[in-house]
Amino acid sequence: MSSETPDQELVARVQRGEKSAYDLLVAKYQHRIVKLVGRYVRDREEAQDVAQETFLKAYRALPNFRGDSQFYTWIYRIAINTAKNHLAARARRPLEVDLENEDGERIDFTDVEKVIDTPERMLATEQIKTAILEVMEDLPDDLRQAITLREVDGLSYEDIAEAMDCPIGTVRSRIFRARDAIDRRIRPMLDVV
Amino acid sequence: MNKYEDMSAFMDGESTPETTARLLAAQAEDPTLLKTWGSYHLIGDALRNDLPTHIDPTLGARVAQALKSEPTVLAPRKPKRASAPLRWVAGVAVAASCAGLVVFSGGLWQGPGQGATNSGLVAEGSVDTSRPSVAAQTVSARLGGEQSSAGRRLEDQFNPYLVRHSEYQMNTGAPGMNPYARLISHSPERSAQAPATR
Repeated sequence: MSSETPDQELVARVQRGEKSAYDLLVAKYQHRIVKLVGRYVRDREEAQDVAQETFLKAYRALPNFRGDSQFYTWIYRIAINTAKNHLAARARRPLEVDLENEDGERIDFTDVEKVIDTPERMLATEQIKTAILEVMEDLPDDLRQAITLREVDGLSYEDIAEAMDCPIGTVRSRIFRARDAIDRRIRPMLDVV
Repeated sequence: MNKYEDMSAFMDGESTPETTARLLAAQAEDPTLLKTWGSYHLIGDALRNDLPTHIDPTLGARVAQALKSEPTVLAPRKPKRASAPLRWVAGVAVAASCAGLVVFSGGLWQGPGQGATNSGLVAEGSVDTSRPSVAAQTVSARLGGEQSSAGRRLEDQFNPYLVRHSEYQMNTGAPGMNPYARLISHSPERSAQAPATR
């Protein structure tokens, strides 16, 4: 196995001039960054724009990234700063601070979201989650267990092999087959847009 | 094994360097690999509850489009560290050079040794040392009441500094710029009785 993590490998490639490696980093972290930015920027479309700006800023700053911290930790900070700058530019305050009703009670974030229009290209996460859970229910036990141990519990292939009492190659195959089955189910939803 | 299985293993950090290199080379040419990669990560985020309430499947494409107008980034190459034996040899060479320099310069400065010492205000309280230096010259200056109080304050702050600096410089045995620089100082008390020194 490679001694470098996938992020280290991809960052090193971007720093050597391979732009396509950055596409993989964006695809990997886009949803987490949007979720993070959404805590500061209330409008969904604005949150997407701030996320986009975050990735552009990170790309420009990547030559100076020395790998002292994890890539996600680094881009996480860029995202927060970009969101705060965005709010300052709009003379707004973060959601957590100013969303109170007349009685000083906090307003539930989900209630606020309901009143904001959603652009057509955006997908409700609930739809995707439902589809994923349906496929998970239908998966054979060994596949479901393998992908759960990997994605939810974060175990390495070696640890999963030990837990499931099977060779590492089998773990690798089971995780791939589980992902492939779910991907086939949700891909049409993602491609429609 | 197919490329999607390789992709799945790579995202889990379970890919060999050779497979990773082959996969990433293929990814640059094959857009379906990027989509698959994005989808696999979306699945993981969903299972961990890391998704926002709404997702925009076009975000990645929009970032890629914006990046097209960006100049390609290139990080400066890290200098390669020399091997341990080479570093040892280099260290010895530097130490030897420094030692040679000290021996050479010591002989050079101890030789003459008959120079005059700084005198006047600057030399007050300084050690008696021989050093190559131009002789201090005494000049007359009458400032009297023309000197402002601000000037005196500045003088009070500056004189001790000059004295300390001069002592330090002589103690080190290296004249530096001192023989060629004139140190100017003024004492109001002395100026009333005797000429100031330079």
